[in-house]
Amino acid sequence: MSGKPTLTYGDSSSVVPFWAKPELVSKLEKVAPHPEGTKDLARDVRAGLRSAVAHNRNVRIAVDACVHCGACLDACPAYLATGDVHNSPVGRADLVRQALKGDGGPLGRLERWFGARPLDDAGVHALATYYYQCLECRRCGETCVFGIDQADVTRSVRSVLADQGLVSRYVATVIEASERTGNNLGLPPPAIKSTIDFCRDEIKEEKQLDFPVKVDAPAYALFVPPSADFFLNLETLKGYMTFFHLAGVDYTFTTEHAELGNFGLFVDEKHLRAIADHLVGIARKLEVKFVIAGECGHGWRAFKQYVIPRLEEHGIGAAHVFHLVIDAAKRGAVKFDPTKNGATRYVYQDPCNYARGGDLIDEPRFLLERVVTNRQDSPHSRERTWCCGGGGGMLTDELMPLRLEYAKLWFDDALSIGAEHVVRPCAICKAQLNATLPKLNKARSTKVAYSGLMDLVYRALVP
Amino acid sequence: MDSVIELTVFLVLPYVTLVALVVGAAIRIRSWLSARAITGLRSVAVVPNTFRTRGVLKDLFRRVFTFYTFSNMETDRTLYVGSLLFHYGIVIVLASHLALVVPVPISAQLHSEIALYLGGASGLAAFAGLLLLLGRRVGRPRIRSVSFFDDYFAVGLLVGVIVFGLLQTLVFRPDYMDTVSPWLISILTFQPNLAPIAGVGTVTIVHIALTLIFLAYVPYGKMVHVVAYLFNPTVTRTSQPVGAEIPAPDSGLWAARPRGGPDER
Repeated sequence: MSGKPTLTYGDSSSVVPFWAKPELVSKLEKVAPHPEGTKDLARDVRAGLRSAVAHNRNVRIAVDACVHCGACLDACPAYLATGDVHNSPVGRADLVRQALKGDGGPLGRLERWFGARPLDDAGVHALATYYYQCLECRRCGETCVFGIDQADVTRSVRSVLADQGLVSRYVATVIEASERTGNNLGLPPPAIKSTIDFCRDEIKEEKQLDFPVKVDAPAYALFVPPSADFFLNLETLKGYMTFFHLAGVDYTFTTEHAELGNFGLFVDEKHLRAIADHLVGIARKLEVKFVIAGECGHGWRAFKQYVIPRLEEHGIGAAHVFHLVIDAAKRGAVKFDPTKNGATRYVYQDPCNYARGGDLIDEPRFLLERVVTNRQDSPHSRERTWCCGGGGGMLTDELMPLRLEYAKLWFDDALSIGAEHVVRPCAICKAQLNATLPKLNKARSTKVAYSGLMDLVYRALVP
Repeated sequence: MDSVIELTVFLVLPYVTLVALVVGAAIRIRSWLSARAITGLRSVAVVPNTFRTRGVLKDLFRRVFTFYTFSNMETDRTLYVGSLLFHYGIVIVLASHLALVVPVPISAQLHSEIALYLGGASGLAAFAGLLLLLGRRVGRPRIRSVSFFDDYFAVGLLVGVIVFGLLQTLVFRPDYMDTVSPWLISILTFQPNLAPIAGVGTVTIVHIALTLIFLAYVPYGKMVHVVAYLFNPTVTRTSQPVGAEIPAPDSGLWAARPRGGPDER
């Protein structure tokens, strides 16, 4: 197809996200009003960056401690896949460094004498383009000896850009939908209910289990899966429902916040808080005592690192669904028949936000060990896992050339151990694999499949 | 002329350096402490499952003493080897310099031999590590493209400091315990006395001058990495465990359908 950006090794600047139009940006302002000021984009971005450096400790330390050793180049999937140094942790940070150099004062004059050029609008767009090629996978933070987390710098820089109305259309659309409807896909309550009913029918047929499911009803626990599970990942949804039924979990779905995901994490703290606080509000309204998170990597990180502390303030407990399955399995409250998942060779690939930021590494392995017979870890596993290539708000069509390049890293990993089925319990991973696996399989004449983990739990659960 | 140089290097420069170090360190530490936000998250730890302070300390210890995060890089071994060689070398060399100001209860003969063998070996290791790292920086296009004036300036100074230090230790072997040592103590106790160090060799003068310039520069450039990471919330704070306290089997969480019983509701 013509018009699509072509990617050459060493230069990924041609793959640019669509930017949100002013109407969309203005909708986001309800939560994050833009600072007052003139429309000198470059000047305002520079002021925002300066403020981020002054106030955010991660960013401050990243700027001060980084010795440009380049270890992150060797760790970053974006850099390894594209060879463009600006599409790397240290390279991206250098764009910020350049932007902050050479303005005002005697020091600025000295820096200009050394070749620094004040940031202009083209510079702002380069900054935005490369900062939206970052997967926020935190692999750089894992490799950096100082623990410099450039994903956090990405979030801060994107926040500064969003303050000036420069934000990816895809991410802005999802945040807007989430703040308006309570879920990323904008699914209306009847659609959610009918999906649940559809899954009940399937479970009845496949497992001979017939049970009622609470929606927006009083219960001990609130269960929050990513909205993609009501749309794309129905096997995962069936897994949750069947487990909850067999273990006797008293839970309800909610149609008001049918979303574990939180795209605020990718861009801006203000949206992260707004979306998460809405979920906390729903939990309090339903008067539940416990909230259970479904399979979603970044959603889990936002949940663990922001929502759970807020819930705890109100005396509400929380856990990942895996914690509950493990608890029930250890007590013998549920039983698995791993042969139901066949002799397929399954490979577990950690979602970034479980392994690097979510402390969820051994739990999924505990489960996989019990629900399949033939499993293996990816060569790059646990905290060294590769991102699926769709993280950090990159799950959009116009970035597909990059997503495909990024995906080759985990795909090669899987092929190297003869995997037939990749297990990634994360909504973004699943959507990314759904889009890229057909292309990758075709290119290599392979037939690698994918799924979440609760999908496999579903098949292995003994009714 | 000699006295002008000696006055500059042995009296002016040391105190300029001291002021620059103290002021610079104060400015830096204040900026690290005043930046409080961590983008809204409870924990930004980069190491998973560090739930206790003990775990955080253990990781910091491993990080500093083994450079373990570099140990299994995808394509690059030079950084790991170079960093280990350089940092272990330079730390032993620095620690050995303490003998200039702290009395050590060993014979002058033994002292001199330790300086020659341990000091010489550590200095050579540091030098080799530094050359490896510098070679990597210059020789690999991807690293060169993220290298800036600051990176070369600090390394350039260090090369000078180490070369002139090694020349003393391995080649000229001057008697610094009766010259440099009393002078350094006089400077640090704010009772400057240049008499003992007067007439010291050029190599020593250059080593001291470069070292002082380097030290004065430390707080203003990338050399702050030596302490900056201790302020990094990603490696210095714990994460919180989740899932350790699942409500008990007889709690309301598991009350929907007693195992083996009929469906409720």
